[in-house]
Amino acid sequence: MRSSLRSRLLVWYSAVLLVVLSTFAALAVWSIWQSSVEDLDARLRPLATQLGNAVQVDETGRYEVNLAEASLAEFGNTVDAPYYAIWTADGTLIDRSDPFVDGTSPTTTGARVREGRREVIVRVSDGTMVLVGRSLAGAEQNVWSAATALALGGGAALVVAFLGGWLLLGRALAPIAQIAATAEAMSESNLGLRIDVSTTDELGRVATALNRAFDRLQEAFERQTRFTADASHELRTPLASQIAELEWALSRPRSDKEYEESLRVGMKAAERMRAVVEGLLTLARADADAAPLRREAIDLSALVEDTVATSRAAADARGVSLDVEGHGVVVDGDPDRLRELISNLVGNAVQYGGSGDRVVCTTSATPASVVLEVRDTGPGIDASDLPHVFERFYRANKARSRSAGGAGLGLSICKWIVESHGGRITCDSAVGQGTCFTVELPAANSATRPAV
Amino acid sequence: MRLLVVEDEPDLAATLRKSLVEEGFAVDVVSDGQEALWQAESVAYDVVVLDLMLPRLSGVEVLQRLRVAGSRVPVLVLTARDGSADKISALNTGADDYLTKPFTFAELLARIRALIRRAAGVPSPVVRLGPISIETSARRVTRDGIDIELSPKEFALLEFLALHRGKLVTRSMLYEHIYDDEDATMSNVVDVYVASLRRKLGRDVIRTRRGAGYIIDA
Repeated sequence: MRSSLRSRLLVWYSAVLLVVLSTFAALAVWSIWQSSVEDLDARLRPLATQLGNAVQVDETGRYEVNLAEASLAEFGNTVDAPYYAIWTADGTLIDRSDPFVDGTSPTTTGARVREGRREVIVRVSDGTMVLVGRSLAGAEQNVWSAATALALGGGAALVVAFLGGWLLLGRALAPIAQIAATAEAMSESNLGLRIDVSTTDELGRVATALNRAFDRLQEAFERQTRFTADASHELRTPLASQIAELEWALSRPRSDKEYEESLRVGMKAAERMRAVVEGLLTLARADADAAPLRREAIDLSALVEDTVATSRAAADARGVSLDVEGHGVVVDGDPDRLRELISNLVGNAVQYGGSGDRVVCTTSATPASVVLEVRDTGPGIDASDLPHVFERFYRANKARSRSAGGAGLGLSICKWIVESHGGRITCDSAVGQGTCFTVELPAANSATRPAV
Repeated sequence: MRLLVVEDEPDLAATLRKSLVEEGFAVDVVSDGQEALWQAESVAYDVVVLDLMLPRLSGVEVLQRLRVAGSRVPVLVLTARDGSADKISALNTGADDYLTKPFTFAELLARIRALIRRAAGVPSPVVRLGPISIETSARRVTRDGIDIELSPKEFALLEFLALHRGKLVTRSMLYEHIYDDEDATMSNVVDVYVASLRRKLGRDVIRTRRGAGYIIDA
């Protein structure tokens, strides 16, 4: 493809150059011819005038040309020498330099080209007509040598331009070959390749744009790979624990207490795998947009009261106080999803909290939106982890969330639920002071509700 | 043989410990990379079983620092990730073997024993000392084809001496390799076990180097 573009460009470029050079040469030749002829005229005309003035009539009524020998010497017998003819006003030939000169009297004055000769005709004051001519061979010779020089020079210029163009095009198009080679070499295992952008010209911009596209592709691909690896990790770890525990229990007879302990460990692992699988399924449906969203007016405050009640036992067990604030805030949404959202947020706050910590869920409304706030006085999230908390399988504190039984998908699911309702979720936290998740949903009768 | 299990998953760590202890190993468990490093630097473990995803210091970092510090301890890496990238980076960082979760305990055990044999330069799982034959995998000792009953610690002590055949083994080395941090025993327990092994195997199998330790002749 590259060589074809290169040769096509070169052919066009050479053709244009050929036309330009030919036109230039033609104009040059024509103008050389013109000036040669003018030159000739300028030499012939004074001769003609001189001759006309030299015609005299003697007493016998005979005409004679009374011209100095030196002047007459200009007219010779050679083919290339000038010649002349003189007529009286009534057309009678008076004299001619050579018997071969046509004796017919011309009717008009001026200059003309006849049979390869240039002839200038003048009429002097007494009506005598004088013709002076000369062969055009000299002018033709000039023109031919100029034409030959132009053709040789132009041809050489064309060859140089062709070769130079070939090299220049090769260099100009080299980035395309490099772009193609890079794109060709990119594969699943080699996504880090980038085009070497060394210029800021059009191709440089193309390369930069392609590199950016490659960046985004690589990022998306790596995110997917990381997600798959994380999902696999989250399932393999409890499975490893379960298999090892059951192998131990089955390797020899154990006491009832040991069997019970083994079953408990096995159950815990199974529970974790269930949580991961359910989370993965939810997110898979979310990604496929396969989960239809119900829309109905819901008393969000009541839903919060309701959902929080199911977390109360866990909160009491950990010594965490759990409060609900706000009444009668109505939102337009899917009750099951919103319940899952509240349950995840409250569950997290309770799980990370310790004795004496406080979790407060507040619902409030503004004309445009409904706000749900889940604020805790727990350990908080490190600033470096904060931007990642909504990422799938991201764990701010791996060990803690593990023991809390989280699958690492809860906040990703929360984000999806909120966004599918056309709202947004943000997280604010300071280590040692606590965390606040704020969910903002469009108000129930908001006309600007986005379609989902 | 003393093992260090580095695993942040508490259930799995507990299960591995009790399973390995049942197989006669002395097992210490730590749950993060930093602790793993401290522990591995202070005790001469026979094998380290190292999970890669660890809090504080990743498994690969632990491995890297251990090798930089010159440690030659055999390391078996556990990984819960698919794909070969983790395994390759672990092996290239100085791991001796790896297992992908979930694994069967039998395989883990076989690989640990293989690493111990390799480190001792004893390729065969059966060590013969004259009429006495020690099957390290089956943990069985016979004399002239007749089984000899040994307690787990007696076996561990005999195995260590047999794998270090021809080399002088001090009391503290023996103690370090057959007891873990959770065992609480007297330091003269080694002499007690050696005496009991001599009663069961014959006086001349284990020789005493006075003031230095014990040796099984090559």
